[in-house]
Amino acid sequence: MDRRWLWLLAAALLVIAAAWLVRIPETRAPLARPQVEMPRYLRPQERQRMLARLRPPVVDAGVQRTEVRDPMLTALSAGGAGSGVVLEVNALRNSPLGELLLQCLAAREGRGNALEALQRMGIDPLRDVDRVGITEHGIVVSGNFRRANWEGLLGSATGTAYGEHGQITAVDPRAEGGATLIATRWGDSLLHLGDSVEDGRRVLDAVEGRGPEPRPLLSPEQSYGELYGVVSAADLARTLGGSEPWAAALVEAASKVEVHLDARRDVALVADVSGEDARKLEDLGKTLGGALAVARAQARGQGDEDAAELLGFARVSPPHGSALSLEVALPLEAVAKRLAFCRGGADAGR
Amino acid sequence: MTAIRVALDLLREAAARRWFLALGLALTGLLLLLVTSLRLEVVDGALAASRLFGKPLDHSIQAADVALRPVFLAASQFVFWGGLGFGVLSCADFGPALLSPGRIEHLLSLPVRRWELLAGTFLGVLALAMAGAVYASAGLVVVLGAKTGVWTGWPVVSAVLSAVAFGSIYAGMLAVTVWVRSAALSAAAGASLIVLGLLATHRTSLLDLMGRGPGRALFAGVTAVVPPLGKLADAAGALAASAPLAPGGLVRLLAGTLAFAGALLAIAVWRFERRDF
Repeated sequence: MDRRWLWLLAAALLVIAAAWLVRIPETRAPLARPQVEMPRYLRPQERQRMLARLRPPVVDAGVQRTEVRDPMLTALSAGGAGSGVVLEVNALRNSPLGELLLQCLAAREGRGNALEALQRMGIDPLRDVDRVGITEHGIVVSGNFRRANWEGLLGSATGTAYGEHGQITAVDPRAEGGATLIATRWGDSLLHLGDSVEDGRRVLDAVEGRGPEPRPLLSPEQSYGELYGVVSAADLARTLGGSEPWAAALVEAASKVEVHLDARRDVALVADVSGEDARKLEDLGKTLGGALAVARAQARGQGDEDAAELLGFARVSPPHGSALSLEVALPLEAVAKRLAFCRGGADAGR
Repeated sequence: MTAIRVALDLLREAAARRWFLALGLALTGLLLLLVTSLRLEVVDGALAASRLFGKPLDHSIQAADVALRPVFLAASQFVFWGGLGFGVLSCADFGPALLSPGRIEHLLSLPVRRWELLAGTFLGVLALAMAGAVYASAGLVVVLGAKTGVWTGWPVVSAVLSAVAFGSIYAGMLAVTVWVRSAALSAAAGASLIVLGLLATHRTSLLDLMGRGPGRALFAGVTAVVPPLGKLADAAGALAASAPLAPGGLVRLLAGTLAFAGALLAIAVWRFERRDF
């Protein structure tokens, strides 16, 4: 080989050495953004689950409807709420994330906690509860409550009968105060907890198919993921206020935000923001993307690598039509690390 | 040995230049100004009074070595960045002067190998940078030491770090000169390397802000090799201020910087060996 080419070879080797040496290794390697499938439609198992939940409405006063409905989602729509979130307790419980949350709960509350109290009254929240839905009109819990000790739970084994399978019970406030709770049961599969008898009746009417059909808050086709829901613009404005530029832009541009969370292994969250004004949505996308990038850079600049890492898992996809998406993909390891503080054990505080 | 003789020749040439005379005078003037104007005795005086009366007179009193840390930190940053800027401007002409018609033919006719010529020029500039940085920092240490009784050698070590950083910049300037004999281009290359070194310091944050694509890949590739000058400056500042340093980090940084300078010098030699004069 020509001696002169040895200089070039030496240069190449030194460049490689320089690249290796000047990059001082991080104290821990950052977690990579997991390549998870974002929850965007019903997966085959979820479709089966959704179909199995559909029920024909109860025949009432000679009027029979041909359509089928998901009682839980119908109950959530009954009050005409604009926002609601459903947690698939059973699916979540059987996911790695559910395991982590349970460990957390057990470590904080001990075994003699509220879960065991409920179990003593015939409801095992980890086995008998299927879903929990929350709207501004109350909480709806679906599951199998055949073994429930209603007297222990509600203070009375029976309530005021309403409709075909409904019972409404007023639960007196506790000694330490509070409002009267109205518990509405539909058979042994649905329980609504609200603060007015009117709400309870509306739920039973909707579930049994009486009266005008309420505007659906969530359709069965939207019941994918371990958590899903919609938030209206009004509730968004009330929640976020608009103190931050991105929050103000979100409140101004969004008419609705639909959320789906997949927790089968890694945690994937999709928040679809829809709005009337495409230009405002575009601005919102840029504002959110910029806010994420700035927050990430600030966190890194301040040495808060944990926050920077978390922010690195989020991204904003460009608007398509009248919606844009905020996607967050968290590796299970990152979630476990965040929950370590409450789970205790060897990795706590890492 | 021949390379060292070339380096000494360069130092003689530098001594004859007004740039370096001006630098020497400016640094000496600055140190004299510090000698006559600083009233640092008050620091240890107050501390001694506290000891004399058995309890602190003022809880905001700091020990002189602690109080001087920001001074050493600021001085190290001044020497580091000021040295880089001054070095790029004042040394840009050495390479082109070496390759000037008539002189290079004469040098090549002597029993000197081509790589020795380049290595000697590089070593000469490195010695010049080292001398300037050490003179400034050692002078500051002597002034402050005489005033406060705090004697520390770390600011001088920090100045050596600045000179090493400038060495990596000058290697790039020399490599560019071998291709195009221009003092302006040489200075531009030096300035570009300083900017790249700053970008390399914040590489991770900047990469976070970039979308995937060829631009990001190019930026990632270039900044992976260039020494992160900001980190070197921080290390120099930490050394000067006796602040803690990550174990092993400084050694790696220095070794990487020297490897980068070596790579650029090897490229310069490769080109120099192939060039006809």
